[in-house]
Amino acid sequence: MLRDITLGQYFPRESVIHRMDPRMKIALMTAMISACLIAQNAVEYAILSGFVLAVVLLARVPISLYLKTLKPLAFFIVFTCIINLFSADGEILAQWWIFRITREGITLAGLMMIRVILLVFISSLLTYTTSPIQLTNGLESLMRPLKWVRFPSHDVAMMMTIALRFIPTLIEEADKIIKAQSARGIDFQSGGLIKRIKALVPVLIPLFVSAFHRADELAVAMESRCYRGGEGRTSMIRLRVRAADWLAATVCVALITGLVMI
Amino acid sequence: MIELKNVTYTYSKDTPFEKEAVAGVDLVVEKGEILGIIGHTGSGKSTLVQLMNGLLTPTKGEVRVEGNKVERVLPQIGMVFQYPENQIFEETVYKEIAFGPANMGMGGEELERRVAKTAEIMDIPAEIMKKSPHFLSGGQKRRIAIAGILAMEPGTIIFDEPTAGLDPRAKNHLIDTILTLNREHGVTVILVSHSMEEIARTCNRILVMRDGKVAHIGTVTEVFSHEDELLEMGLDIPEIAQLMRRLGYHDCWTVEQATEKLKEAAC
Repeated sequence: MLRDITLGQYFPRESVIHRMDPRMKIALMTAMISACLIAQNAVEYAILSGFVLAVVLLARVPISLYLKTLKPLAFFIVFTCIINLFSADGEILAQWWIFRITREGITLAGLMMIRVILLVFISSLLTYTTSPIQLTNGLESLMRPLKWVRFPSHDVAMMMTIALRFIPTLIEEADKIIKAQSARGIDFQSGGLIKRIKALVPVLIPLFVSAFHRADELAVAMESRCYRGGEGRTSMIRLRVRAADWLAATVCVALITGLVMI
Repeated sequence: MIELKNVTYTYSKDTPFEKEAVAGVDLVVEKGEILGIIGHTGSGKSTLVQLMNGLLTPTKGEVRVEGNKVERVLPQIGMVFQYPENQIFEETVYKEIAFGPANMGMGGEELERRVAKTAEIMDIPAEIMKKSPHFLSGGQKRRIAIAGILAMEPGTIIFDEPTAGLDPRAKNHLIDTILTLNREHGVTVILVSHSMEEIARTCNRILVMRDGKVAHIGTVTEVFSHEDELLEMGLDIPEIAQLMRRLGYHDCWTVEQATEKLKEAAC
């Protein structure tokens, strides 16, 4: 059950999008997300959706994976749609008690749905096409200017790398402990809220104990390889912004400018 | 008796990460035997044993215990996972051992008796019963974790690599305890191990897993006589058996058997 978490998973493929510079990807994804929030009418959304779909196809990651990330959000999407459906003023199409559906409400609900779906697609695009290492390298590089205000960009990036690296390990470990404890007669599925929370104690305690052990071991392993923070440290992966990245940036900027102008 | 009929298990079915870990296994585990399971890492041993006590439900085929189809986790089949000390969570050794039977609804004097009896079988000294299990030695922690499962008095216990990471004395101690459980308490034992010596010393029958399928099943002699094939699978026969083969003895798998043979020869 815990294995089904897909959000933030890297999906290795050979594609133009995978090869892009992570910094450029982060910057452009942020720009696209703002574009999604700025867009207002159906035409703008159509253009945006077309563009996002084109990028999704270019990235060569199966669409079913994006849909899978949408699934847990289905309730949220439907809920926002319903709220929007009933909350707009305008030409009334149907009315019942205090609820009324207007033409504007339908449009608004539709656009809201597209907006949320686009946001999910754009953020999944970034995580599916960028390995965690590249992602943190990119973030570290982007955060470097913050050194002026004494922001420890290297340490933050290292912490993120470690956290990302150990998520699958922790999931595996939790899975194993859940199995071991259910073999000892714990029932995780039934009973009231308090009983279920209580059932988690025998899982969480061993999980924390082993996480602390692992953290200790990792610290020793890093120190014995002479890790001493970011001071004077060079990176094996040298990030380079290539012509393709500038091309992508130009297309994005053109698109967003176009959207704002309309 | 545990029966597996054409059992198949596929991880992450219908996703790009689909993997068939156990493929069409037929197997009968007899009451009172010690069945050893060997196989290369990733050959499906761990998945197979989890199917036996209902922790996993087969994607195809069925598992029957005493004739009943397994549909949920069975308390009568105990499961000792690899490094079982990682599941310890209680404040005292006593509570840790009592956890399983308490979940089964046991309480009062009966529970106390059960815990005391289990502690005795597992050689857990009475003076540590009120101590925290988290600060004991690795070997002791493991014995406490196993006691926690034993206290549920399962008729069958599955041990997944029970001696991994223990020092030689703790190893021998644990193997002796497993043998006692089987001989004196009539517990059926399923033992997954990478140590051929351990398998030869304890098991009545051996099951060899390869790519999710049963490659061989039979007595110690039957299975270990396929030496070349075992070597090719990344397995081996016990070192003492290798020595005895060089000396010309072909049916000798444990140190005890070898001692006998060599004593005879010396006379």
